[in-house]
Amino acid sequence: MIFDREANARERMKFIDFWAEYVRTHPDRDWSSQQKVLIDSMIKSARSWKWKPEDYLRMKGEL
Amino acid sequence: MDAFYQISIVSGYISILFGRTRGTEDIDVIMGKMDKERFGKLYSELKKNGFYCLIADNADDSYEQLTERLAVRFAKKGQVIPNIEVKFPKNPLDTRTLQENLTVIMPFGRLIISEIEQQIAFKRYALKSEKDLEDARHLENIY
Repeated sequence: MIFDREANARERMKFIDFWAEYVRTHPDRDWSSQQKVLIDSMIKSARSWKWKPEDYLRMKGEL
Repeated sequence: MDAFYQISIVSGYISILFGRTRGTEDIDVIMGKMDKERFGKLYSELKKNGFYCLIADNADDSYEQLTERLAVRFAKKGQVIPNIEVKFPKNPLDTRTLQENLTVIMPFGRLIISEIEQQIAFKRYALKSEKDLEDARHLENIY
């Protein structure tokens, strides 16, 4: 299987345009409740890693 | 915090604030330069409100980091993500964002954020990663 990076980037940009249009044409409560589901799940997932501060800083190249 | 300290939120959090569907592990904040004593008060205030500094366990060391043009990160006690990445201004663009910014009224209070045009330009022409280009496109579409 060949991964087409350019086609993938085009697809992503299409979604960016679609979603921005959705945000512009729908009430804040509508889009933000959907956005919240995504952000909350990402934070929950990140926290499940039980990072130590020093490990995190090392990963970021700050230690 | 912004009532006593000159601050401005920059970068990814701004596009998320305006609806972009992506996560971030940190909120980037530019903070006006201040002396050690004033920073000490801020550090105490953050500590009193349940935050800790990831890189140093006292105000003096944190301040030293900042003055060495490095970032310091604060998170809620017991957590690492999400965190707030704080920097003193390093260049004219950072200084400008402290002078020319926007106030966003949220249900929980006010947020001071960088100008949208500046963020679009910085992400599109300086940072240029896939994520930054997408952030720039989103902001441009919204405004």
